[in-house]
Amino acid sequence: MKSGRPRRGGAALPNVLRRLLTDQGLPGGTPPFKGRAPAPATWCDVDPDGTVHFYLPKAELGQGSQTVLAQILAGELGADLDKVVLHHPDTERGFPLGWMTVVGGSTAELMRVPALRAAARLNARRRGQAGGTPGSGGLLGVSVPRIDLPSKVTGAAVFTSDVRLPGMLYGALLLPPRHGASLESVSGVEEARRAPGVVHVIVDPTTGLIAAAAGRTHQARAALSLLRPRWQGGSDAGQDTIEAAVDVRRTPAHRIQNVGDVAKPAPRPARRLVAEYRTSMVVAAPPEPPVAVAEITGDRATVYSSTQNPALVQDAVARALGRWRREIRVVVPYVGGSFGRKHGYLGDPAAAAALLAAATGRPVHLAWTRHQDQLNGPKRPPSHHVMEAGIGDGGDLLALRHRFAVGDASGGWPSSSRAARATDVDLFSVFGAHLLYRGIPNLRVDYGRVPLPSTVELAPMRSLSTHTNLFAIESFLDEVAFDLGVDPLELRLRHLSDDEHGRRLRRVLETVAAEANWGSPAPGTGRGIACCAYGKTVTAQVVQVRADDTGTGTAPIVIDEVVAAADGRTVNPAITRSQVEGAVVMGLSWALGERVTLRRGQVVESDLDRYTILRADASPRVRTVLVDGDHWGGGVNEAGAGPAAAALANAVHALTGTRIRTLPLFPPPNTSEASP
Amino acid sequence: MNQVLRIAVNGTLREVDAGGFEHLLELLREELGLTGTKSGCESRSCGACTILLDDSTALACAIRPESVGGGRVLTIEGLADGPDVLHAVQQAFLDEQVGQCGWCTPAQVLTAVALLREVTDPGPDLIRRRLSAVLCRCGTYERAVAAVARAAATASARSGAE
Repeated sequence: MKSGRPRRGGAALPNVLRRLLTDQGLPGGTPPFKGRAPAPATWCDVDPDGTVHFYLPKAELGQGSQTVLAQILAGELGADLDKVVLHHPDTERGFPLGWMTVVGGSTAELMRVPALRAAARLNARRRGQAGGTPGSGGLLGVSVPRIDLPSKVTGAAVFTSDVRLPGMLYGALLLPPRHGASLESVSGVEEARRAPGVVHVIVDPTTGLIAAAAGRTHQARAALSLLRPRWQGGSDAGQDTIEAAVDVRRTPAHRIQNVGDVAKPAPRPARRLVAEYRTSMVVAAPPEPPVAVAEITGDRATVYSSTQNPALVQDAVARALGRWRREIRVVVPYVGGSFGRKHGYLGDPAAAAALLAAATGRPVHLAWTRHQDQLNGPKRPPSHHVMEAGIGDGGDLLALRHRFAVGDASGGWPSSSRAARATDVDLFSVFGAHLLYRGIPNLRVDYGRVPLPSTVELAPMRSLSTHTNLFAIESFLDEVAFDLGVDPLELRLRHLSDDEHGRRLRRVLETVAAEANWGSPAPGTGRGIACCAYGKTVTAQVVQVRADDTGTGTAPIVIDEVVAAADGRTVNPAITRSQVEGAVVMGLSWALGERVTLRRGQVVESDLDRYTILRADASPRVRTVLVDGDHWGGGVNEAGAGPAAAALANAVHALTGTRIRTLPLFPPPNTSEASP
Repeated sequence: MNQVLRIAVNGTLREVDAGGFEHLLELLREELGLTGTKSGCESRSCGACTILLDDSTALACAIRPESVGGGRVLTIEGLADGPDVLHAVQQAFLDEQVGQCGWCTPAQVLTAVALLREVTDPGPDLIRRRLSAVLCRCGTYERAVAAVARAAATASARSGAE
């Protein structure tokens, strides 16, 4: 094996996650990044004719980082943004693969300072000076239009799916019917190889890879349909298997927050409230299914990949081909959404595309189908939460406890074993789990890690675990408020701490309350409120619902409007706003009706009719208020999705009196129920 | 090549292999290189492969090339009025900064174009209903609705001025 464990790309993310936790003032933090920022020439250079080139470290998935980074650099260089030539991430000319080239967890904000420094040094170099101190950064805080949109409205934008090379073949994959099934034997291989248009068929019993390349996609698929594979073993789990495994009472607890003593609070609570919550598996369902294009010329392989992490793609291709990593060029054109799906280590087609390209001597385009992504793509971990409150004689909240068990999302992560030994905590699972109400004297959070490696493939998704943890915590806060007869906003404000952390949360809560006219809801509406901290951003949302009088939808309610607030300075307010809007819509979509269930090891929701994603007719207005602050924000892409489910569940309760403690709140009727 | 199929795409008559493609989507993307039409599900759910067939929206994954007959196919690449002149709907999408990842943007734009050819002044509910044919995982729906309303208003202002 020529290439070992992925270097910085693989190892770096746990550090990034710890940094994000540290930003929230939470335990688990280690010093974030070691090593120097890349040299100025890595970011940008200037042609003799004055043309400025920017080499972007991070792929543009829709989050707007291309525009934001370009405006940081252009502002500092005094360059005309319209005349800048932008280059997608490319190992040939750009950043060394590492933490800077990972897209995940909304970490683009971490690039602002290194980018400014690089531009300042380039400025100094052009003046014949050494060093260079960043100036005022003329374009910071300005809503310049997105650079990518003109090509996206004309169809000219090239995604990996759209890469076309001379002589290119189109591939197809045959994936196992059940998670963990191994390939016993295959017949029909000769027929498949003789099928029309087919150039090559790979059947590898060792790795289980079955793939074909042909002149057209449908020919490659037709060839694979002639194969008769026999699969052995694999998961036969049903939904009840998952729910039985993911249970707080069966899972050893790992204490991740402990203030005072929730077991014996003093003064003693007069009574306790307890409620349990569950969240289902969901999928990211990126609009562009996973795809790669590979081309091999001489001793070099070039891979165009729709990925969040080119380092892992490079490593996988190097391993598959038995080559050095430096022989593998990775280019990341526009990515058609990802939301965590294209993290680069589970279900990525790049290595198979490279093997087909090596076998045929021609470039190969290889994509998963939607059906395959629904069935075989990773799922967001299911979780179970037990919330408990201790209430004093005077109705004051003396103790709050969050116990949760969650499927392990880090199982596939290449460096997870090291991270696991260090902490026993899957860092993907603890975001949003901590109790923000530090005004309560006794707080405790117990986390239980539930590995499900033989049952289902799990991976983190947008908002990491914030969406699910906050569904439990922020729903429960409402239950306590209702029990005490206190306004839910008032209860929250009353228990925030009197420090910077508490003041920031108070500010976003009061902002959304004022903006939504919280005290006086319109007749026939119900409102819910919730708040969230993620990375360097805190958010709050008010969701307003009313009864669905048409009777046509799956849900008995219609979401009218969401008012969202996020705090922190931002490079491009318009892009930040759009990211909040998108995160809210995704968070509500997950909460309303998205659910993946298993029946005998197979996903029931195999297409986008059975897996129901929010569409325009049910999507609410989202009004976003950016609350300025002294600090730079970061993580809004995740923080925006955080409070959505709880705010929606709270609004449903306010309207109907029904408290729903399971996500999704309104599962579509055509999915299977619990029996296997 | 087997039998030749003649098909009008973006105002040009193209000659292609009659039996060579599973559906119009494959023909557009793999033979004609018109990759602005996206392949997102191939099961008529996501709407990313929306094209215009004689002014009406159609899903390219659900159409056999030979069934197009004398119909006129318009893809996103053929929409703009010239190399530097965007269609009013495209301009409105820029003005409202609609897209994020941009995958569904061509389908949203073409859906809006078909709607505005049919109804000059659609209200937000009708716009929403029509845009529901296209899944946008980034959640740009409200901006898209605003863009279509803007394009409708621009068009009516223009015709009122004439």
